[in-house]
Amino acid sequence: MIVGTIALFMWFFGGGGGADTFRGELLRALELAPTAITETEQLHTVEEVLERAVARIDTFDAELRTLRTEYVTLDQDYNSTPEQIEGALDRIDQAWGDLEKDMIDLRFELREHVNAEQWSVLFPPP
Amino acid sequence: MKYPRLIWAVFVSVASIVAVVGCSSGPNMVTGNSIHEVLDENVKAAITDPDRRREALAEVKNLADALDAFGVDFHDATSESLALNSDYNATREQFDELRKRHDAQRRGHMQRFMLAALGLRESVTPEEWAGLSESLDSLPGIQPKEDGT
Repeated sequence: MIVGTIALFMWFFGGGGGADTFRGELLRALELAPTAITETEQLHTVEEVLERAVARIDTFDAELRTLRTEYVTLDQDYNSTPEQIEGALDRIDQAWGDLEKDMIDLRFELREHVNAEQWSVLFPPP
Repeated sequence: MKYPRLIWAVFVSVASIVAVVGCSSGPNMVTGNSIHEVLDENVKAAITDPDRRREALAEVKNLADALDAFGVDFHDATSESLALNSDYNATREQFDELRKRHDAQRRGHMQRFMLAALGLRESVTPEEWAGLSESLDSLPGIQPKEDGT
């Protein structure tokens, strides 16, 4: 359990937590989109891509719940092997990697529909 | 089903904190230091054999150090990612490079962490392991919601 609690902290930082941060950024961009984009059809397209990105993160969260259950089961077993635990963590890492790739693809898809000025409103420098 | 509830609580509480304060440490943030304090105290109380106690305490410190190191790198990685995303002219190659670097960094932390965590497990009995687990309930922010999630 100690392994699970703290390691999942780590994976939260590496996975769910980071995803949650970016989900917040996307929701903020959705709110700001009508301010940045006045043309109706363009706005609709941008909102559609942003909503797909949010949905992708939600899918990841659901996947993470399943993987976490698998991991917790191993972690509760004092006799589980390091290989079993690492295997479960690798599957979480793979899910995170898939999410990263998809989010980068969506980022560039979104970029095709907005100009630099609109982008700076949607995603201001941190 | 106490364990899943506890872990879910960790996820939820820390996710909220990170989302709100941008990953900086807040009053409910579980850090390597807070984990170190709780586990250190409970190892000293639970293990009387001096050799086993010394070994377990060393692993507890390794765990705490690993967590803190990861926290620092995660904060930097998130900031880098957000900054790059805000650059309209950032290229796919820049994202791929950043992703590759962060992935390697994360896996390095995982290895370090796993070695310390498994080392700690090897240094204690199943009963002590269960006791140390329960001791983490006292950490701030680790409180299951009423619906058990």
